[in-house]
Amino acid sequence: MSVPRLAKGAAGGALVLVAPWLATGSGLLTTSDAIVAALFVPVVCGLVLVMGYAGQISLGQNALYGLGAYGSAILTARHGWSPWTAMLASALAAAAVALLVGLPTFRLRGHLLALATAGLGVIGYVIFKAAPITGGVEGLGGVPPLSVLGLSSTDSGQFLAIVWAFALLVLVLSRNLVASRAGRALRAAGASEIAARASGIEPLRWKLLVFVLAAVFASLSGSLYAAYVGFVSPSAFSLSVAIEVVVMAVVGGLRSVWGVPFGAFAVVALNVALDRFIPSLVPSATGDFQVIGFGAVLVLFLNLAPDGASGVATALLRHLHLRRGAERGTA
Amino acid sequence: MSELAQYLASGLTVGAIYALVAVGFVVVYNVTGIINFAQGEFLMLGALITIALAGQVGHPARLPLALAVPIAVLAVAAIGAGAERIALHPRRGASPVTLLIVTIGLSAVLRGGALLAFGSGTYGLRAFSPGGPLHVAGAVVSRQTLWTLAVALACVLALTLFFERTAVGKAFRACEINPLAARLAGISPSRFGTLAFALSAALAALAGAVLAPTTFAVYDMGLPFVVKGFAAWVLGGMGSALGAVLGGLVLGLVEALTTGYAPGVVRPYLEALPFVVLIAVLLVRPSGLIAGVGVRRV
Repeated sequence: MSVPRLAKGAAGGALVLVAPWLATGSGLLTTSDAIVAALFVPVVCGLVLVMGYAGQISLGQNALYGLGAYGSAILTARHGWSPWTAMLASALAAAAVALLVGLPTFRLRGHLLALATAGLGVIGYVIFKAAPITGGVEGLGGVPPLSVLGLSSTDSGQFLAIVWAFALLVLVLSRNLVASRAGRALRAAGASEIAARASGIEPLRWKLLVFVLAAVFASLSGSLYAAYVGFVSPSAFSLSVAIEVVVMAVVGGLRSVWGVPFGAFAVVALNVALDRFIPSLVPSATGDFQVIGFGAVLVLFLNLAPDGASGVATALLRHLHLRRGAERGTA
Repeated sequence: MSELAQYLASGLTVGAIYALVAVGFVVVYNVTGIINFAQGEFLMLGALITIALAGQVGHPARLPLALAVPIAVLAVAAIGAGAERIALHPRRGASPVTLLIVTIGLSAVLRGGALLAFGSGTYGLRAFSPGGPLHVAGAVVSRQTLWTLAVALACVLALTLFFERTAVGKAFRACEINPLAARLAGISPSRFGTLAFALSAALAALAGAVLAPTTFAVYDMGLPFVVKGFAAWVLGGMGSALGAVLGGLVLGLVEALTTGYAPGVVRPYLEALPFVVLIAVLLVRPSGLIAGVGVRRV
């Protein structure tokens, strides 16, 4: 690898490593906002793999995130399991659900799959609200905190480090997957099923694998969320969350793993900004009016910058001759 | 017996609303290939704008309904056309999934905009005609219910005449059947795309206006109707307006009957019923029967 490329990689890597503390240190975001963004990174990363690389779509990631949260909550608060075993068990359950759901639905064409996954996401939400085991609309409390390497989820600053370490792990794992032979098989499956089969790649298996992976990422993140907040309620896992995750993926760039943290932090920052800014414009504003911002961002990005921030960055770098003819699909 | 009649009556009424929303999906999908997630918001805007013009219940009346409703419908149709031109038309070559996500963004913008304009409160609209409920075939139906059914029926008839008998309507169908041939014949599919959005928005707005006296209007009332409209449309085969109408009525009836007869322990889960129906239909119908799904990428 050439020196400039290594230097660029190191600089980029260093930037990503400290990104949350740049955001909080500069006063742009509070620590808890940064934690929210960091918790979404694995969820969005999974979605990017599913949408950008495997060419599928899932509007139901909120249900898998919720499964991790509720699974961990129920197993630790009601049955006294350790947070780590509960996390693992919930992730396995999420993987099973993804497999069960993916097998019949992934043969649906694009936008019909979108509808089906949205439907599944809402079904999950209704179950969270209705099933007695989840504590219903009031939710479930008493979730114990977790700690690792001396860092505990009871302290926001320490928890940010825990979540970010996990997020980075997911990002690096995904990046390696994408760059590997498996990743090429995945992209082939996503681009053209017939061509993939002709090359000996079974597309459905790869798409399912990625969907299961995305489910595991989302579930693990959900478990972390539950341990941090100590309490889970259905409102954190509604359809709006599924849409918010899609917005983050679009903003970062649907085909970019490294765009994911940018997308997550940008959307959280947007949320904060809208919360501060709009009431001064419209004094009577109440409720979740931020959706107008999300919608506008979605429409704008898909029209003007369809490859998201990473697409813009790549084009800019290419324009400045810092990157030659980057192939589509690399971060 | 009259209990069943009651459920049937309410099922048909709400089914008529689903039918109007679903027909809107058909019109847009067949001409442009887009699944319009914002359809529910057009219904919501139809209701809220009508109330804004006509005056809400408990406040002095403003415009007469005979004026307020058509103006609101036209306004929402204009919003639909504008949305298509601004947000969708520039990306018309993009994949259906991308366009679907754009419509999700549109629905969020419209919903957030309504929240800022109207607040989060509920608004009532006076019934279209005064008078108490009537007894029909063993069921007690409000006059607004009869209005709903009448409006839905009138719309379906008008649309059928439009598509079968008028030149514009036939041009619509030409765009749906073969856009290239249509273009060769001097018909502009892109302009008809905009028209399709305007028409489907008008249908949803009318549904919203006629629904408002019964269920109150609120900024987020649109979301459930999108999903149920989808379920109705998919149930009806996604191809024809008639299918959409039938799908809507069937869904409304199923909903009313299950809500009426379901045991208490099942009730909280019934909210998921339209989605279960949606997924069941999507999975059970082989993809080959779905008309006009668009070019299959090979």
